[in-house]
Amino acid sequence: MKMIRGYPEDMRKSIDNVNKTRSKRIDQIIEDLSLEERKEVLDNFHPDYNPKYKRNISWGVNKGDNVPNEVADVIEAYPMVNPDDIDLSKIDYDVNVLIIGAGGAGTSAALWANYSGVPKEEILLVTKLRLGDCNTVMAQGGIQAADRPVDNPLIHYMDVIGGGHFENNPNLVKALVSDAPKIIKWHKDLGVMYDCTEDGSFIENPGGGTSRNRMHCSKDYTGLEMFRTLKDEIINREIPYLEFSPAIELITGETGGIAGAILYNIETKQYFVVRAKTIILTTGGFGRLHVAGFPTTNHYGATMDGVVMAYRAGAKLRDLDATQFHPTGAAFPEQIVGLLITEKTRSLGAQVLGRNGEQICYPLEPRDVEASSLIKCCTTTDNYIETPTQMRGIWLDSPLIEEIKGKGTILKNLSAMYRMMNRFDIDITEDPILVYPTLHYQNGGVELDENCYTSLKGLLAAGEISGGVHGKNRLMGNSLLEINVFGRRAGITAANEYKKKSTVGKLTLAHVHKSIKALDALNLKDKRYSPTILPEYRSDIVRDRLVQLYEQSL
Amino acid sequence: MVQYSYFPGCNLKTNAKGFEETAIAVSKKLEAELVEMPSWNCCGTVHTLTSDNIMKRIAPIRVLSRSRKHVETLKESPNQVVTLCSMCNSTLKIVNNEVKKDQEILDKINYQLEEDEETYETDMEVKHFLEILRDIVGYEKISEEVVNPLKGLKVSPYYGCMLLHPEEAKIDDEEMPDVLESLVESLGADLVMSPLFKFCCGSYHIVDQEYIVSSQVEKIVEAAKRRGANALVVACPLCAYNIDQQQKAMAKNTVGKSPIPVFYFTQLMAIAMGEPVKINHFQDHFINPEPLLKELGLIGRKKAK
Amino acid sequence: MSKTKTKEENATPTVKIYIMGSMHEVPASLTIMKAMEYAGFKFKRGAGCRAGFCGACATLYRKAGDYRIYAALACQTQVEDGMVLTQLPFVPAPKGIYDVDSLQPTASSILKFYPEVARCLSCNACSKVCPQEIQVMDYVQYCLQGQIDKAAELSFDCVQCGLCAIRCPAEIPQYHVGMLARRLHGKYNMSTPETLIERVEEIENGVFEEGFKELKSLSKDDLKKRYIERDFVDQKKA
Repeated sequence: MKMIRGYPEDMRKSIDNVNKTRSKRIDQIIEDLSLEERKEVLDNFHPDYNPKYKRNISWGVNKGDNVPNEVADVIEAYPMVNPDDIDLSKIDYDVNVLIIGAGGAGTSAALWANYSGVPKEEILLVTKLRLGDCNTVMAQGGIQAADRPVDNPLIHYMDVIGGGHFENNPNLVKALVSDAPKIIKWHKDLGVMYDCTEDGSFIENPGGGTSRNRMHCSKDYTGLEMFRTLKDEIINREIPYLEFSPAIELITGETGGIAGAILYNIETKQYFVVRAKTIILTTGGFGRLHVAGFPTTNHYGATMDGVVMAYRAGAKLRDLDATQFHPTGAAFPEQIVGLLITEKTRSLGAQVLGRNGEQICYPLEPRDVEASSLIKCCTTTDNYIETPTQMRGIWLDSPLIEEIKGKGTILKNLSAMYRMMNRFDIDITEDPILVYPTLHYQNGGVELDENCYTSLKGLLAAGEISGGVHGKNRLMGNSLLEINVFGRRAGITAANEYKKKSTVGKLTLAHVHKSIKALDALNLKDKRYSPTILPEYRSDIVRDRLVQLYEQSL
Repeated sequence: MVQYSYFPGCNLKTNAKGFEETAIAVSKKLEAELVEMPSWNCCGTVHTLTSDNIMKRIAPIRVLSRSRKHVETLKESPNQVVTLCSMCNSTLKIVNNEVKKDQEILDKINYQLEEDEETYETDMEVKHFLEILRDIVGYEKISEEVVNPLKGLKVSPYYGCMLLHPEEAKIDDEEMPDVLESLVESLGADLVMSPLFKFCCGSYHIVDQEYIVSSQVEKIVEAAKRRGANALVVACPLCAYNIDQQQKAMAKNTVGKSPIPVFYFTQLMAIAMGEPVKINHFQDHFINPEPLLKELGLIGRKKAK
Repeated sequence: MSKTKTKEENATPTVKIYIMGSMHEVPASLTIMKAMEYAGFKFKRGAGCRAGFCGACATLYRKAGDYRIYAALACQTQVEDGMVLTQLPFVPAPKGIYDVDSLQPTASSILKFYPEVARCLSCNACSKVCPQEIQVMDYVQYCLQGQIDKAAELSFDCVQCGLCAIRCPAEIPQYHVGMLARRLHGKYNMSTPETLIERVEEIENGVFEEGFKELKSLSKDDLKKRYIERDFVDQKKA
């Protein structure tokens, strides 16, 4: 196969079409879809609306809810630890606030708990991998905040509710949009470098489904720039944290409510018991479960562990039927299939094109609608581009950005994208990017209120693990916002709880026993275990070899 | 207008901003513009130049190589890199000389630098800005640009060690230098000669043995004052710092020792040429020169145009 | 396209790589990370975001017949025949403990917490090893020169993998130095727009409370109507 500047010769013909049509497309605008048209394309092409990818939960609080098979799989699975093997009388860490998950939500919760009066030695932040191995650092496009005079939180509210198909919890949306400017101010005070114009005002871009430009960004490293600053503060304030120590089960208190967690050191395989008055779950989402068989943009540890633990303890879940597929995952080259091509590419002006170089839909629809339109084009027409490994994709016309906004715009604003593609010899200032939807975000999760209380006493949650903020579909730039808004609120709530005098009493794992009983009653054909902790990518041959060795050892 | 590739050195960018801004301002006026290199690193002076350590010569050679490229982008620029700091001048000159004489060392260094696309061909000369003023611009041209002659300022030139030693780096005769003297006179100031014009200021001992610096500076300042000086002019940021800061420290302890301000040579030029006072960054000085300049009527009056 | 492929065309081409000394044959199309998984390794350390942002998978390698040490992010680099690989779990480097509110955007702020910056030999080993192709040595020098703005801009794309720190003969933790420079620049050199401060005040004064109350009281149908009718100010729509 002959390669020409990163693309195989076959694909070059189609790229020529893209280049040829570019000048006439600059001012060409494709109409966006009406609510009825949106419904139609979603019903027919979005994986959420395809019954073959889903089934009903068979036990617990949300019994009967229709969710992706992969979600049902981890909920209908046995605990990985036998509760009788854990000695709860030996407490390894005794703190006031335990924060499980050290991504954006967890770190902002820890900081705000500390700002609000919880002494650092009363806080423990635990995480599965390193501090900073999280989806936050991978968020590229931006963070929404309605701070311009032509904008306001009410307009932001309407965009969020409409994008979520009017299924959001209004109180959570109100909290999200009205805290947004405060969050940006906080970040500015910490020294986060948001992109500015020469005169010092913020550069604000549009996003899919937003009616105003309110996307604040730091090139296409927005999440990284934000997170590394929060992490720097965690270390400066000497807040204790444990790495490579995911929680695998919550612990309940004798007096009711959640009172701690069991940690598992994934390297030394030790269990640790943590007792705490307030537990904040900030474990993120489920990308690494590969819902509906899709590749994902998510980090290595995104396996929905927090939801599983909370569910066993009896927490109520919501909106887990809704999965976000990002419209533009990389479809070529094979090494990076499924990785994120930021929505900022479209917000700067890139259009989505079929193989003859014509636009196929309005480029800034809400994500579920945009993704469905791309799937429709690739499955019901022949207007797609095929890769040497028979993947289908759509062109994202990045060079158009430089036509509209001037030479150098891509290097200045999309340096991560440029670098990623350039490693494979593709120059996105000259050639388009091949894309196809990829699994991106868990829209639903643990139900909570605007102060981050879940349905269980002592248990707070924040970030992607939660449900209700985004309804059935999240808009670009609202997840970086969410982790900060609700991380902050969870930290403040934990500090309020800290000030109240109360104790948690004796620790128990009664809820784990109860879950095992419920699972036994299901007579499951496959005996699975969860939480998943890390996905399995070793080849079948290797796994067979391991099973044989294990059996021999018995 | 000739443009020179200008290597600032770290000091001129941090605690000696006034020395740099004044130099750049007057260089434009004298049509010998100093243009800062787009990217540059430490000259290497903080590492001792022990003769068997190639690693420590990488920094100065990288400066020379980058400056060579910079020259290509400038107008009518000679193959010269200009510095304002005597330390940088000395380090760069010594290493430049070494590699011009010893091809083997140069090859070894270039071999380390080739992956950075830096190769040095020994085709650069290192110049202190004073050399440019003396040899290219000329005192006559400087006098012509003076709009505010420094009448009443009795200036004693102080060279320190680095400008006159060692042989490969010196910019003037080590026993009878006259570059600062001629400059002072061409600006209309009164020249006060002091025998301690190159008596060491104590240099880096300021870091660990301050008493050495203190005793040196006391002698330097006293010698100048006894001969009637009301100001010193220097051409090295470290000398400037030591003499300025130590006078302040001494004034606290010993009553009756009235300190005298220390000027960088470019600052005197800027005042004489009517540049705005603020580019001198006098707020960074320990002994503020402004009261003296005001008293003599050299600043604070409306400029006659 | 319909022509059936021969067996040879169908066979996946493979390459031989050496993972910490032992040889493995892996498909040529894989990244280093996926190749190691293919070979039977399960990552605990050395894998994070798997997309080039977190810096967990810093990898050093040599190629057959080449004396140079190469560096890469395992998740972003395709395997090559003859690669000799080793994963680098995180490089320890002490981070300065500071209160950014009490600092100034100057060289002395940096040198106070990282005095070793003054030891930089300008050897440029850091820039050569950087998988993000950042001019690391230049931003360290900018810090020394007090040009914090330039240091912040130049270091911006750093994913803090730590490869620079392990190659530095002066033992400078460059990625921490860049972090401090960016915070100083972001806080002190980049202004906070007035419009943001005013909006925060408006929200704290409850200016939008009435509006929220009204929006929350709307029926779903009314809300939909309001949504469809909302105006778009900044974007061109058909």
